[in-house]
Parts: sequence; C-alpha cells; structure tokens
Amino acid sequence: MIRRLPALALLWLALGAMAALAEPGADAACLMCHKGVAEGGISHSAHGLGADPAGMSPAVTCTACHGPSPAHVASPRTPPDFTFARAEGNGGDGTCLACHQQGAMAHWAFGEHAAAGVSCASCHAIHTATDPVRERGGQFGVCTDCHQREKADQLKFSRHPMAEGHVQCSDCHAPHGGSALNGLTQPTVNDTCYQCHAEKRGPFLFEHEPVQDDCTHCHLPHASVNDQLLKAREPFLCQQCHIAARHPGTLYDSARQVQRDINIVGQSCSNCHSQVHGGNHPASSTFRR
Amino acid sequence: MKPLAPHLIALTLAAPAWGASDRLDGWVELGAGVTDNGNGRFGEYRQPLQTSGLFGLGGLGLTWRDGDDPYRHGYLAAVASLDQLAFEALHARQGSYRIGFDIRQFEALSRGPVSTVFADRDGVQTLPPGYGGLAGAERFDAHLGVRRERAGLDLMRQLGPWRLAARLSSENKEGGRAVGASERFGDAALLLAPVDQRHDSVDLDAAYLDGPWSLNLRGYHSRFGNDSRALGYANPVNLAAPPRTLDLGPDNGFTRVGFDGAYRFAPTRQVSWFLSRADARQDDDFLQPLLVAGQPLLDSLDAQRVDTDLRLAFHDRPGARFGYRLRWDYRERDNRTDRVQLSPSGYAHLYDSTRERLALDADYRLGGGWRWKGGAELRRVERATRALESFRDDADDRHLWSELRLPALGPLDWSLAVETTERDSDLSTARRAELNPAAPVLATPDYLLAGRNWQYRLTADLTLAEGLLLAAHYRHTRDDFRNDYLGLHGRDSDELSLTLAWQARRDLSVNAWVQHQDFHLSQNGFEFHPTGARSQANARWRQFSDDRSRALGVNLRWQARPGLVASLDLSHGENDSSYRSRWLEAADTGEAGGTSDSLPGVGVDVTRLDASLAWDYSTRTRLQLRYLHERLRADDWAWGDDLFNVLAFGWTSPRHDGHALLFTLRHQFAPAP
Repeated sequence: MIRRLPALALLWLALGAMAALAEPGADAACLMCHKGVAEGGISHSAHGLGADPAGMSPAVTCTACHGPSPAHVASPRTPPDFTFARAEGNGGDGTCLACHQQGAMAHWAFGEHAAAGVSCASCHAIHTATDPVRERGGQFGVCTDCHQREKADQLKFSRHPMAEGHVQCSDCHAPHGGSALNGLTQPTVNDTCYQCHAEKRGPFLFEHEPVQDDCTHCHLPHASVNDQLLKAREPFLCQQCHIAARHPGTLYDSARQVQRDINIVGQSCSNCHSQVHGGNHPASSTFRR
Repeated sequence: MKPLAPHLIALTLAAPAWGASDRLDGWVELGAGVTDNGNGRFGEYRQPLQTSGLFGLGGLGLTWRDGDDPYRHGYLAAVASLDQLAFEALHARQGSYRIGFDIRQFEALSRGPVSTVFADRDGVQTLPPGYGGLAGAERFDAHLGVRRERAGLDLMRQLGPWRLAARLSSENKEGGRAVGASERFGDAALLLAPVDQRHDSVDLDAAYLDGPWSLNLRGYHSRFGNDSRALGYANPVNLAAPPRTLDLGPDNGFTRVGFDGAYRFAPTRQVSWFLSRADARQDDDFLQPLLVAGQPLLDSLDAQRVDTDLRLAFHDRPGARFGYRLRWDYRERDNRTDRVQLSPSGYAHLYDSTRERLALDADYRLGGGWRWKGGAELRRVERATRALESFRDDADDRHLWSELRLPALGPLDWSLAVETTERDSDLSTARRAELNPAAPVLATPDYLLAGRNWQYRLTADLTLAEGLLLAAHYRHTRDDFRNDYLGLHGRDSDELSLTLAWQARRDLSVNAWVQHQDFHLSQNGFEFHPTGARSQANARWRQFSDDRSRALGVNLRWQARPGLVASLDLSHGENDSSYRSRWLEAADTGEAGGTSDSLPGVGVDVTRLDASLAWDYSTRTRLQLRYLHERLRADDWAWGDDLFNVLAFGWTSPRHDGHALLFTLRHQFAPAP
C-alpha cells in the first residue's frame, strides 16, 4: 500500500484538478479505470490540468478530447467516441486543432503528413509527462518508426549525429507543413544548412556556383557511404564537372592507386582545393588555400 | 563547459517559481560507466566513449507546479549523460508566458588519435628545432575534434491574440580540424587548423491569431565570427621555402525580415503567403588591401548578397473526397558584391540566381478503397555568373507525379507511385565554350544537364496475423541525361526496405528491419593534352561508381515481469563502394580502347548493440544496466601509405571493437506536501 501512495497521490491530484473545472464527475469516472493514465504523467502536462488558460476550450479533460462516450462507460470494450490511433488517420486531428492553431499548425491540414494519413497522435504522446518527439533524445526514435531509411543511414560512414539527438529532424524539416515547397524550416536547402554551418554562408569573393546554389548538389543530408556526407567519392565527384583546367582529366585507376597519386589518396582533390565552399584569398579563384 | 554564469541565470529564472511553490517533484540520477577500447570513432559524438576508462554519469531535475494556478510551472535540470552535458531551466505559464534557458555541450572527434610533424606555436604550425625532413621525423600528438557549446534563451508572451516570441542562441566551436594544404605532391597534405568560431543568432516572432487570420512577422539576425582567421605553416618538404598562410574563412552576418500568414475562408480552404528579404554580408580584413599591378589599393574585400523570397499558396478541400493545393514561389539571390580585380588576371567570381516554381497537387478518394494523389510542378532557374565576363545559364524542369493507393487484397494494403522530371537547359555561349569538345574545361553539371528522371515506388503493408505486420517499400530512380560527351551520363538507384513488427504479447514486442540500397553512376572523362601533339591525344574514358549499403536490425522490448524491462537494439550495416573504368579510345598511356580496370573497393562494416535492463526497485527508484558495443571494420586504400601518413596525421582506416558498460540509479522524489 505504501508503494502505491505516490500513484494514488497523482491520481488524487489529477482528479482534483480535473474535477474543479470539468463537468463534475465526468473524468473521475474515467480515472476509476484508467489509473495508468494518471500515473503515466498526464497530470504533469497541460492536457490533465482542467481549464484551458488560453480560453480555446472550456476545459481540457478526458471527455473534452474523447467525447462523453456513454457507450464506452457502459461497456469498456466499446471504444470512446473519439480515439486517436494511427489507423484513424485524420479523424482525431480536428480535436487537437481546435486548440493548436498557432504558427505552423495553420498549414497542418494541407501538409504532407496529413496527406499521408499521419495523425497528431501518431507522433505525439498525450498522456505522458513528457512527449518523446519533443525531447532532444527522443525525436529520432519517433520519426524513424516510419522513416526507416534514415534509421539505417546512421550506420553509414559519415552521418549527421541524429541518433544522439545533436541534430534533430525538426531542426531542418517542418513536420506540421508550411507554405514552403521544400518542406524545410528555412526558405532554401542552403539556408537550412547555414543554421549550423554559418561559416559556409558567405558571400565570398570567389563563389563556387554549385555550392552556393544547393548543398545537395554534392552532399547527402542524412548520411553517406562516403566521407563528409558526399554523394560520390572524390575525385569522381569533382570530375562530374571538372575535366581539364591545369589538371588533365586523368582516369584514376589501379595504376594511379599504386603510384599513390596525390590527386587520389588522402582527401584527393581537397588535398589542395580546400576552399571548395568559397573564399576571399586570390588563390580561391581555384578554391585553394 | 563555462560553468558559472549560465547556471546562475537559470537559477535566477527558476527562483521566483520556487518561492510560491506548493508542489515540487524531483529526480536524481547517479551512475558510472566504463569504456573498453574507447576511441574517436566509437565515441564520434559521445565523449565518454572516446577514451578507455571510467566515467561518471549524473543528473538532477526539479519540477515545480503552482497549486493555485496549475498552469504555472517550472523546470530545472542538469544532466551529464552519455550524449552531452546539458543544463535546462524553464519557468512558464501554459498559454501565457515562457522563459527558458538551455546550455549543452558535446564534442565530435575525427576518427581517432592523430599525430603531426608540426608543433603549434601561437597559432603557427612550425617545424621543431632539429627537424631534418619527413623520413624519421618526430611526430606530436594532436587533438582533432571540435567541441560545440550551445546556449539558448527562449522567451514567449501571449497577449490575447498576440504571441510574442524570441529565441537567442549562441554557439561556440573550439578545437581543430583537418584542412588540405598541399600545393603539389610532396607538400604537407593535411594541416591541423584551429577552430575558434562563434555563431550568435536572434529569432524574433510576433504572431497574431484571430478568427480567420494568422499573421507572423519574423526577424532573424545571425552573426558568425571566426577568431582563427588565418593559419601560418612551414613547408615540411622544402625547408628553404618561406612560411605559407592558409585562409580559414571570413566573418559574416545575415539578417532576414519576413512576413507570413494565412487567411482561412473556411476550415478547409485557405490562402497563405510568405515574404522575406535577407541581407548577407561578410567583411574581411584578411590580406587586405591587396595591390594589383596598375590598380589602386583595394580598400575593401567585403561582399554583399540580398535574398528575396515570395510564396503564395491556396489550399482547398471542397469535399471529404477531394482536395488540392496551388503553390507558387519565387527566390532571387542577388549578389551585390563589386566585381573587384584581385590580381592582374584574377577577378572576383560572383554568382546570382533566380528560381520560380509553380506547383499544383491534388488528392481524390475514389470508392472501393482507391485513392489517388498527384501533381505537377514547373521550375525555372536562371543562374548568372560574373567574373572576367558574365554569363547566364537557364534550366526548366517539368515535374509530374502520381500515386495510387489500391483496394486492399485481403490483408495486403498497397500503393504504387511514379514520378518523372523532364529538364531542358539553355546554356550560355561562355558555358558552351567551356564544353568545347576540342578543348573542354568543364563538363555540364548535373543541375544543367538536360534529360529525364524517373522514379517508381511500391509500398505494401501485409498483416500476417494479429499483431504481426510486414511492411515493404521499394524505390527505383533513374536519370537519363541527354549527354553524349563529358560528365555524368547515367545515374540510377534501387532501394528496398522490409520491416517486420511483431507484438507477440502485451509484454513483448519485436521489430526487425532490413534495408538494401544500390547506387550506380557513370560518367565520362577526357584525357586532356593541351598541345594535342601526342599520337592518341584526348582519349575518352568512362568511369563507373557503385555504392551499396545493406543494413539490418532488431529491436526487442520485453517486460519480463512488473517493474523489470529488458530492451535490445542490434543493428548491422555493410557499406561498400567499387570503382570500374574503361577506356573508350586508345590512350597515350598505352591502354587500348575498350580495356577496363578497377580500383579496389572501399568498405565499412559496422555492428552496434545497445542492450539494457531496467528494474523498478520501487515506484520511485529505478536501476538500469546498459551495455554498448560497436564493431567497426573500415578498409580504404586512400589512407595508410607510410610517407603520406606522416603528412596526414597517421590516419589509417578505423578498425575497432569498442565496449561500454553503464550503470545508473534514478530516484524520483515524492511530491512536497
């Protein structure tokens, strides 16, 4: 009994908070069975506190989201009036959007996730004290439940540290939609990258057009089998555009590898052309030091 | 971590809350771990795994909630975890105001221990006394990694329909990074360049939400400062050569003002827009002023760019079955830097572009489980380059896509999708001159290559039994470039993923997944001899790159009994690349046309295991034992030659078996009476 005291206290607090502002007894009935919900931490979140301080809803209670659900009360095997399971798609989102209208949510109904049948509850945990998708350490796990390719990408040689939470999916992507065509948080791919890689933003006196045009001409955003998130290995990546200039358009084959040709060992082209993102030094006309 | 100031700020933020508290929860976590065979790659983004030995873990969190006004709450936490050091504080009233502060730190290492022939002396890479050349040169340990320290202050105030928010962020990056500094074969290939950078930003947002209107006025300012502006270094091969100087990048600043919003005609019909203007500048005091023969001294190497974005979108869902979106966006990159002359033959090389896109997409739910989504997009990009001469290249893309979800076949839900993009380009005279088959300088980059892209997708979800689901996804992409000369010729990829999710029992769930990716590309090159004097001058070749990635994993969660949970995350990835080449014509080097060669493959195999056992000793106390293992085998012929290694930090392909064992105890305090 002593061990259950904290849970009972939580239950009491949740009941108290809800009962104060909700229809008397409505949620108390819910919590008679759904003790785990209170123990799980909803009383620590705004969804378990009763009145809505923003005035969007008269009360945030169980029945405010799930409906009065008399059939469910009479027979627990009958689902509540509204549930928010994944399979339900957009069905439950209207309930959430009744309060959550600000900012990006204005675009939710027309976004990619909504179009794919992903509902709010597919990603967000409502009944817990913390919502993993909003936690630095938890978001990657939630997103990769569906986006498995990005999960596998973390095993590649170079990667953004997403599994550790240092880079979050929502740092770059707008999960709730927006007016942007690219689905990113910033107007362009480059602007998104510059949030962390500001040193590459420029402008420079010597600009490398593909670099300034779009980082993804050369880089993969999540991970790559090549070093530095590159789409192909140097020098082959560079040779997709550069043929001659002062270097012959050498075919780098096994003979060159045996010779340890400086154009192919180590960092390859970047052994010399280290300023490939642009620079101000006159040597930057060829993106050297 | 700079210890005191941020903590004090956070405590100050949280203190008013505690004064009136009537409910205080808290938790404390203490633990320790030990790493065996720790190294930079194992701990690439996790500092405790970078070296072998013991390390401590800990955390303390306090949450407070006002009993009279339960929407008013506070939070304070300090964490030293495997991933980062962090401190967070929050004081807020839901829907009214929020003051939040956070600071976190982590370090990213480059591969592992490195050594260099240079000795760092006041930021200059010098050669030590007695240095007599590369052979037998003494090497010094060096630290090649960057520590990032991020701090942020979040402020929000809700005033009726207005929501005012500000986010102030600051990031310091300190450490060292590898930078290529070779001038020719034999020179130093890599240098340890100091990183001492600071990036500060302010994000301001004033939002108005009332009835059908949603309006946001936004301002963003960012300032990047580089305190290691240049690096001097001695030439380790030619000792008589004068020291050289390496450019490590200028400071820059960026300011954007934007206005976006939406007007909702009905719950399912709205128009939205986004307008912004951004100004980017860099001011450089490196190597200026420069003297150009016959030219006056340059008094500035500064540069400026103005970005303009306009977007307009109309969304409508006239009925439950049908919806559509019409979107237009325009982006201009206006480089306002003067086309300065930096040397007798060198001019600044400046880039401008404009991009315009118009997209229409729709979805329609047909009867009988059919559902269609599709759309069309037109893109036009104009790219202008200003150097000694100016030129402009245009590309027009027409993108079509369609996805069809078909009626379920028993337990099988499936959908098919196809996309195609057709590109036409209009290249400038200058660009065409660079592509001159007689004396090519450049190939056409892929974003200007005319051609067609195809993409096919198949998605299927098969319910095998109650609680057992198999999901499959296949995608094939192909680029067919209309390129009969140099550069990219073809690119295609195949990706397949399979996921098996099994909720065996209420207390046991298993998730297994497999990924397979194949990427192929072919490109043509040109063995270029400027004089054309040789017998087989200008022979063409074709090179093929094949990148393959295979990964599989198993996640398991088992609640063995109430309060005892075991979890396991096992993943294995194999990534390898191979390179083949073929001479299309007989070459001076003796190869006959049609002969083939290949480079050795490059591969990385990695296996990771993360297993844990959590036991709830009581409702408030949890003990956790966690084991981490990583086995990595990399094989790369580009690293490892002895002489080259001396100049490249002694890098070799990483290979390790790292282990770490962690034990933590977490205790939840009871709420205050």
